[in-house]
Amino acid sequence: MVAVSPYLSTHYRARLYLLNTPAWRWLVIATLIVAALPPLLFSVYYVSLLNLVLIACIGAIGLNITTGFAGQVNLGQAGFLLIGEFVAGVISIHLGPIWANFWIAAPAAMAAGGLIGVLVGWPALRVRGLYVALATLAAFFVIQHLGLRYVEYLTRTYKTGIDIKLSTLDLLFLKVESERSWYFLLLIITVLVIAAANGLVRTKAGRAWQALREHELMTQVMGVNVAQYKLIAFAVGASLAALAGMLFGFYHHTVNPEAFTVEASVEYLAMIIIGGMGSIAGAVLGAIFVVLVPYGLQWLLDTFEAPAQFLVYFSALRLGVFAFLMLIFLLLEPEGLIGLWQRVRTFFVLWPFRFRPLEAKRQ
Amino acid sequence: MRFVIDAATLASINFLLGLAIVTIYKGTRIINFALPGVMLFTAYLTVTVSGLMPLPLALLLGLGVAALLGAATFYLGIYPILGRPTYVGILTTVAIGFMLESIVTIVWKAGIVNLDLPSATFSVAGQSIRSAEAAIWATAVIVGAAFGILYRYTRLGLWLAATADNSLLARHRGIPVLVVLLLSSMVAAALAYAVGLLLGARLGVTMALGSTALRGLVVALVGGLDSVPGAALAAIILAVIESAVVIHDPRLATVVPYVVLLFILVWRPWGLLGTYEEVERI
Repeated sequence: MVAVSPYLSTHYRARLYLLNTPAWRWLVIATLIVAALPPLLFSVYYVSLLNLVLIACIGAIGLNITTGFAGQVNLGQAGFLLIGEFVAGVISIHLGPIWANFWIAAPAAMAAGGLIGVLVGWPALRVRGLYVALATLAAFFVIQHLGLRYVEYLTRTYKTGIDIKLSTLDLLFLKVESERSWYFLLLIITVLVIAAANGLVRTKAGRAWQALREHELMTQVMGVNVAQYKLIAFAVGASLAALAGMLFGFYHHTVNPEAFTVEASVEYLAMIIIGGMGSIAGAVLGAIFVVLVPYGLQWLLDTFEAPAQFLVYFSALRLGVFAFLMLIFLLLEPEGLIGLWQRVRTFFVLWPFRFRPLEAKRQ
Repeated sequence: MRFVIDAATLASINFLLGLAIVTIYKGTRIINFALPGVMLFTAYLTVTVSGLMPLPLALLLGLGVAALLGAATFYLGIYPILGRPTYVGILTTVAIGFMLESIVTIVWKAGIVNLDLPSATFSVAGQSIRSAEAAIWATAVIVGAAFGILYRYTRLGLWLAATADNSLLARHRGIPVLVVLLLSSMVAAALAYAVGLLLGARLGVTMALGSTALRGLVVALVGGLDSVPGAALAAIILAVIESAVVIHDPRLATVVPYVVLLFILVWRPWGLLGTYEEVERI
């Protein structure tokens, strides 16, 4: 039986339920139904936008685990995405268009991402804070270089041409080709990732990460194996990024290291900062925001007939806007969009009072 | 001989960039990722205004803007987050840097513009040396010596050291900690500006300056984040390695500094000449 309030559990197991109130369960069911609707209602163009949002969600959740929960700044998330894309490339070019390649590619990408994540996280064991960020940045440049080399090798040895063509993703019972089938596949994967991540951050590892983020020394004093949990955080974050990268590769049918730049990493950081650091829902909100805002921006530019160079250098404009929003959120609302939402919710839950009873005013 | 000239030039650039990072880290314990953006913005700005006014005035204006941007970085990206976890400082300065970079791309259309500094070529031992190269060496030596003297013999240097060591105690002793931090931030920006100009005079001002400026981070970390001699040593080592690799494979050469950095982070995280206690190790 599910308790009516998360604060009134009748037995200990009840405290472990992910969806601990009827309201939550109905909300999740309603969200899933709404999420399944777009392919039936909207045109292919909008569905393709949503596909990009879903892929970004997976990567952003990964980054939020490494950076938002464990507090290890990762400036090289794009590198991990690139690894996923290479796994997609390796599988579809070296093995050819084999049957049910999704079931090989997904575990392979996650394993490869996890492994490289541990390798990149290795320097993080020796150092912390600033040094970790620099280590991930350095690792990113190395991965990018290897990536360019690999593409060169592919085009030379396999005569694939500049546009490497990947085979179609095959799910045993269905070939994923149309935007609509992609949408449903990505939706299922994203829902699974969200559920898994929500579970994961409530485990021992999740608690260790949050402690690590707040105070590393204290965490160690409490007997937590800091090194182990740092590596796990990197492995989980990187394997989710690689999964997103693998899907990205198959979705665009190509391997293109030039799409994964430092700027792409910064966009992923923008997602979790704008959405809310240390919150899975925040990562999802941030991914939606960061992927969709450029289209709104483009619409604004068209409407107001802005000078042509804004459109020509649109990617720079987009990056500038995200950087600005990152700064604003970091300085004024470190909890991100989710924090804004929680503030609004608390206001209505407590109305007409401003604070919880028996709780001193914060600050 | 050509190899030595190229390596020396690269080493000088590396050193100046590393010094900019070290200067600001010493005071605030924050790495300023906004420097590439400051460098791009001021370099492009100087090129544009040098067409409108006499060169010395344009250079002075560029310097002023660089100092202003340094101050802005401090007030927006560093001061508000002092006392918050380190990663916030990384993210705010990254954001400021990319904002500047984006402005530069849109305003100057990501083009290559040439900075017309008076230039000459003279030959030493059969090798022609461009005045831009000589200027880079001279700047590195002069700035290096000035910083050495500043840190060792002046009151400001003492203040910087005290602030870096324990800012609370420094404030108790009446050291104007905020002024010191603001100054170091402005000096770092001015250094980035100087490097931008020197590089621009040699190869033209392009967007690639931004990725060159990232090199400063590598130099500072390899040498030890709080050590000026360390930055010099690291600059020379990295320049020699890179110049040696660039002959065989130009693209590999851009990655080599990062490989060295990863190696250093695992082997000796506090850098070649950094203070051991600097890194809070686990």
